[in-house]
Amino acid sequence: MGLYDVDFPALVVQLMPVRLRKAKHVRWLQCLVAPVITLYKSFTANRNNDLYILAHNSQVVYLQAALNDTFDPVTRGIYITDGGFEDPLFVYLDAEHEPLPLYLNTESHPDWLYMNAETALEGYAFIVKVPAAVTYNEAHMRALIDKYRLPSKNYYAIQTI
Amino acid sequence: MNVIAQRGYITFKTYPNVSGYVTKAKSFQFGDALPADKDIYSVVDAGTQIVKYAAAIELDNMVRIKVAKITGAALTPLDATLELPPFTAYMQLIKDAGVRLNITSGAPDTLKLTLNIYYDPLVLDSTGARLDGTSTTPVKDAINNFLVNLPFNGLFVINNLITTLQSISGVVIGQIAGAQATYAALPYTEVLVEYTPDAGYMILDPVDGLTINYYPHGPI
Repeated sequence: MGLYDVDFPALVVQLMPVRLRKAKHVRWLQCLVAPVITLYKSFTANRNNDLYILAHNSQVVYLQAALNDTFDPVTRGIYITDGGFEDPLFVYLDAEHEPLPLYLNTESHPDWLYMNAETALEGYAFIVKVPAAVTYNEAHMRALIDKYRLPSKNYYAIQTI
Repeated sequence: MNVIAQRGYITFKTYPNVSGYVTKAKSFQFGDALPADKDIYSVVDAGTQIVKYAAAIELDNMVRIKVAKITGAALTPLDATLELPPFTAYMQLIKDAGVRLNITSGAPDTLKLTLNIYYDPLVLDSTGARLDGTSTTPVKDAINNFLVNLPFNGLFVINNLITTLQSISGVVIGQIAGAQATYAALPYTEVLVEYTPDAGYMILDPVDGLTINYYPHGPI
């Protein structure tokens, strides 16, 4: 029982003098508190919603949790991967002890030299993988992701797997 | 935020920053399963928290995480086949969606120090050992401890080292006569104000890393 857990129907009975606790009288008073209960329910729903929002952020694990709670609550198959990018090839000084072996053509182990712009993350920032069995409204899913994701990570993909 | 903490929801930060990545890297527990949809372990076990040192550095389009563990009393790299893959998988869950991570654990930078320690003869002897016998190398222990606790970007600052030296019981004046640092096989370079280690962490050169001259000095 927390501070915000109030059982209004029981509270009404508890606050009545014992000699007045007749069935008809109790029901009448419970009718009078009905609007309070309605307000209390909408307050509790809003509070739980706020707690849920505060409990989730842009971290992969929490963004996945929020997506699964909304779209795939049973099998929880939605997950997030990195977008595609090329790792830059670093060339070091001899003394830095980071050798870079170069292979023959016949060894078919190419090392690509990329341009600066190519190693930048210019594709998708991240990719949301959704199982084929999950039906979803893309606008709804994007709105949910936009609520939690980091600023600037606005170019992402939603892919069915 | 109290109710959030009590319910164990978010431990990162509502708005994660770079130092948050360091905190989370250090809470990694080797061999323990992460509960579903959570970024904290159900049981915090300091024994399996192998990452004792972590640095996070922002590069173009990515965050580079440099980590090290402690073997005995010295910082060493994580095992590339055994320990690094689970740590990488953990960080991929912890990080923010869309942030590129580059996780490395390389050989440490080495540091050479020449110190002049003016000691209180009531507490230390001429070899730097404590007279009460609780420690034979209090100065070296303090320096090693200082190197393990470098700030999150690994920056080594001479001034902070002096503060550490002064706080050792029995040291009246701690003077740094020389500080040099390097990595791999590069020649040693003088550290005048600060030094950012290439590996993100540094150790004293195991051969001749620490030269200390001890001089007795009265209280000041």
